[in-house]
Amino acid sequence: MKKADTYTKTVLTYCIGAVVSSLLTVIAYLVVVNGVIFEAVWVLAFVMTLAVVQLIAQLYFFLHITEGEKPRWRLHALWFSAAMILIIVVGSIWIMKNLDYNMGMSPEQMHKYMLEENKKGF
Amino acid sequence: MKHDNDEKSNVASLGLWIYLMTDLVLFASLFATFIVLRQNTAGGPGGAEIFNMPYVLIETFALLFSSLMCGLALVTARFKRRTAMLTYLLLTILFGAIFLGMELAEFALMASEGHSWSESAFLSGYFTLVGTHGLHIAVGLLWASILFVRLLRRPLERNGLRKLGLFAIFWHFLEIVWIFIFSIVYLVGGTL
Repeated sequence: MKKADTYTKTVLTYCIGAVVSSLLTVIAYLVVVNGVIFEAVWVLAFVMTLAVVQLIAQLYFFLHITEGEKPRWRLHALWFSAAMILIIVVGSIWIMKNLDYNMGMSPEQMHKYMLEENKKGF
Repeated sequence: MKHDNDEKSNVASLGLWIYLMTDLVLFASLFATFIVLRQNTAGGPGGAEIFNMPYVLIETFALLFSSLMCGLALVTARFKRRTAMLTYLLLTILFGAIFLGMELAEFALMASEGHSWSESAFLSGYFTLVGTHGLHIAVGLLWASILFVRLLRRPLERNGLRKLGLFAIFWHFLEIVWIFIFSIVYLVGGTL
């Protein structure tokens, strides 16, 4: 923390972070709950965009990720995890979608089959 | 002496940060599992039928407020305002407890209606992901309570400030994970 930072200024930083986060949360909530956007893909894109903006806002205002001496190890570690997360999440969705597509049964047939299996009990 | 202490503080906070990054990967795999299993409701209810959206919004704000209070506790501690710091830390615990209580009540209600984790793959994914976050919150509350007792009994010194700083990182991190649970599980999973 720099010496020039005053108490009020630092408190204000946290309050701005909280207000920005609240606004993003409320906007995402109202838009999705009221069904303003109809197409599933756009709902997903909209919600994820707001979530990532809020992520950046909280990293900046609450965790002060850009402050501190260089090299910024915390930021480097974060980028590395971001890459891992992207591989895990996008990779899983991609592979499972392909598996689904390449299976013998259609989703409806699979659903029926699973229900029958379910009735047999475990 | 001062230099030693600063270095100790930097190393500790970097160590905690590295742990949190691995925790992030754990959450990422649970998110991936949830997303993949989302449609597999096995004849049971989907997200739209069991999520109470206004309730979840209040929960979200309780955690956000708790995160803000935690940040203010750290700022007041840095500026040697001990009473304010203790008040903010107590509010952090209070709002965190409200969040956890609401979440447990939500789980209990779902289970009592027969929608527990064993009903479908979707619900297994849901309870594992949200439950793991809840477990982190519970551990965080325990951590904060122990910290509160320590800070209450001793004058504010560098060690106390360092420990509070470490807890603050953990708490803000959990709030960030919740943004994605709220967005993906509740907003997207509850409407599509």
